[in-house]
Amino acid sequence: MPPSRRFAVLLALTAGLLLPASAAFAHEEREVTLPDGTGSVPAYRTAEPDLLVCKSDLADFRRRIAGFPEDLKTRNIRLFEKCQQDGFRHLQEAVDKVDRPGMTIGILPGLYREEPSQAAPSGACAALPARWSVWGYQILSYEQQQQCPHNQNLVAVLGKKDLQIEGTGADPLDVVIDAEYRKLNAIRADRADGIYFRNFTAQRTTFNAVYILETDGFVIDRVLGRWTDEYGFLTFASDHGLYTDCEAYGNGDGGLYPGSASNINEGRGHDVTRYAIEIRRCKSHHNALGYSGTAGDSMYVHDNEFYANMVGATMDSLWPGHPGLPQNHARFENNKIYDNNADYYRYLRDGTCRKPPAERGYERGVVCPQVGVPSGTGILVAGGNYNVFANNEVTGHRRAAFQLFGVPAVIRGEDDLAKQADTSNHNRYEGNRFAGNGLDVWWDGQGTGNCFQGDTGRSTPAVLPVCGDRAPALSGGSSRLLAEPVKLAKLYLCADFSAAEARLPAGCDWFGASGLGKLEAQLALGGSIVLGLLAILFAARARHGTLLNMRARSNARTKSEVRSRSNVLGRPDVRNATLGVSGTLPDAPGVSGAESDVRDPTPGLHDQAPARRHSIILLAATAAGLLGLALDVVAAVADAPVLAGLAVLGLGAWMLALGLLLRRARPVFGWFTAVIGLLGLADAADRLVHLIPAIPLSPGWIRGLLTGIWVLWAVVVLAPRPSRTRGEERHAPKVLA
Amino acid sequence: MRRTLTLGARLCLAVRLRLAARLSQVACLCVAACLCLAACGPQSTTHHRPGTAHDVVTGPATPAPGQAHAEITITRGRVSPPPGWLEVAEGSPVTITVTSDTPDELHVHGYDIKAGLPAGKPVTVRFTAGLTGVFAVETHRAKLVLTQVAVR
Repeated sequence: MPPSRRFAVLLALTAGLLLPASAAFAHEEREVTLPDGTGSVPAYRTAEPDLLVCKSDLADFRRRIAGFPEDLKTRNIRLFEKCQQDGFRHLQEAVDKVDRPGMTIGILPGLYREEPSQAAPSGACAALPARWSVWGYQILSYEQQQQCPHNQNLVAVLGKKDLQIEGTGADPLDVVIDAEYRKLNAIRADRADGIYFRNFTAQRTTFNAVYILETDGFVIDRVLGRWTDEYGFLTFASDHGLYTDCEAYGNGDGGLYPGSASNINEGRGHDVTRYAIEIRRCKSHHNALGYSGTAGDSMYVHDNEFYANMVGATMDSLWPGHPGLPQNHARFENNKIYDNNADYYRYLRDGTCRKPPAERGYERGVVCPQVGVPSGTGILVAGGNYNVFANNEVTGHRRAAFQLFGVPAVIRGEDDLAKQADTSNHNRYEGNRFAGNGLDVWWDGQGTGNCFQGDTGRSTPAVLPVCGDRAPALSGGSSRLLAEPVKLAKLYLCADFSAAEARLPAGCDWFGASGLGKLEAQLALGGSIVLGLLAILFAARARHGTLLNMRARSNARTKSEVRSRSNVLGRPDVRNATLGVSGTLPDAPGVSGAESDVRDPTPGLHDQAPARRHSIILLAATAAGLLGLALDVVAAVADAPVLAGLAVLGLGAWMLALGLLLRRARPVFGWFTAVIGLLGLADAADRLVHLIPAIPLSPGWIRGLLTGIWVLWAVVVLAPRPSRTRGEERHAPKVLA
Repeated sequence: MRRTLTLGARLCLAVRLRLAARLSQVACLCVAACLCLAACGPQSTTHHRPGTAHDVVTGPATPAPGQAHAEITITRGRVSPPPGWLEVAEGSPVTITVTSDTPDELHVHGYDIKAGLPAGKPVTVRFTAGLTGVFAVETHRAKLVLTQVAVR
């Protein structure tokens, strides 16, 4: 590894270590293996069901189907009669009767509470030798799931191949499988290659409505998943999947969560041969997240609607233990993503989410968010690569249409230095339609090869890399290993969210901080006060000529007799022995300090004109700096990236001018100040004009770090101390004596 | 005099060095404190603790006797809160209040209760849950499911 790369990686690792280590998993599960990919997406079979499930109350059944179209009603009546003869009263009973691949189970309209599966574990099932997760459930092996299928699942489909389970009603609400918060999952399909779910509702669980695990080939078709602690649909470590025409709402994490889909495009750049899972025509709304994608690899997500969530869709590399990290290759196309501005954190604040799930009121619209996210965002990428967002309609988000930031690998439990900057890179945003968003793009500035469409509106940073016609072409790109410093500080603060402790970090605007209450504003205000005071002090010292001139001091030692004579003449020589705006300012050769005294004992005839010029320059620069500092606060309060750029410009101009004016009086400090000023100007250009390519850190990082040192140094420079002038003045009478 | 000046300069330098050293110490302490906070601070946990979620049994969601009530708003074709689930004990009184931004007709299936929904005016239907089962409450014109009444 080249030294520069090693240094950069160390920086990334340092930043990663500064982030709080998050909980071990987004969800906890047994060790899983991704399918070998030899399966296929199952096709819907229209033949009559092999097995039927129904209830026995004919009057209730007739009421349920009363509004059906005539042919559907006739079919259901026929199926009901057959079911009364040889059908089952509970879905699990029918599943247990499946004895060959390719069978179909028809569920007739009704409420399925699965009473035989409801009981708490007893006997050997209550004492399984398995680890308990920190979330209060056991991590069971597949064999233990087989042994005790209802410890965690209302309905368990274990190892069945090519099974189709469908409701025979007119829509998903006609068949309801209700776990009543007694189980983690309403339906679990585990190693069930070829499973096809269609036309029913699964609801009220403490984990997932429908859970598909280690399965090659599945379809979720016209299924509604609602009111869970976590996910409407969780499909994990699976391949050849299809979500179609589904709906999810009232879930505390993602309505749809295609986690750890087969990682089949790793290392292929933008050259994708096939996607592992397709999601189309689904509606996901009123969840914490419409779509959640930790390790959501090789996803094709199109023609869906994600709305009224806190965030429309996320994909991330935040959680250890998920196969396929870092997340890569999700393609979002032609989706409508709008009005994801819900604030469900109020239910954490008011204690609603501390109640047992059955008492929280999910059915009345309560959502208990399990994740800390920037509500008011369309699509959030928190560590992902080679994702493409094309031709989506992303509208009405009070915060941002798109957010993109990187996540060091150490967060997901990988401490290999070479991996620390492996997200977020090569993500493309093309042809999307924006309207009514606070920002169109919020990007932390980290990563390589990311690009955005040319017609992006308001964004931070204000200038962005622009995508070329074909991937991976882009212009104005950058390659930064770390996020912008203030954004990184904000992410660090916001990551301290805890649903378990209802901890909503104060200062993070994701959770309601606003105005000067925001971390960014507080940092800007604190920095501005310190720098503003220093700016005023420098200006005042310079104006009053009390800033020590090293050259004058040196001259004073050799010309002390002349000085003494001047004092004898009764002229106060403070100005001549000091630097400020008079005497020894740069660009006033031959007019500096004691030398001028030697040539002209009458003060000010030579040095007053340039001194006045320098005074004006410094005052103007100080005014620009103070304006910049004020703008910085306003920009932070108002989330105005252009103002922030102008603020840095003003600040840079002040420091550059101050440094140049000080460079003869205090060469090292002066040049140091000027360099920071130049970095400020570079930072401003980076923010407002063009991202500076080929630098591993934004100018803001270097500027910020050096400014910290500068502040300490400036305090030392400005600290009151006995001056030589006073010493000389004190001793002058002695000479006379 | 030269000697006096030299001493003064030394004194000056000493004061400044001490001040700089103190500032440096303060800065180091701040950095160390930040690092310590980062390393030793509370770890982020995003999910509920045992006993409030993922518990195997948290208690049945059985309906309590007494009046059941739902308040529903329809705005631009969207139902708020999203289509719900109203658990009702058999024989209990039920009231459902609906406000729609467009004129429509409310229908409680099974009980066959219908009510007009004038735009912008809340309408309340009341009935006693005499039939068991799950009954959809819908609007006829917009064909929206507002809630399901589960009577047990």
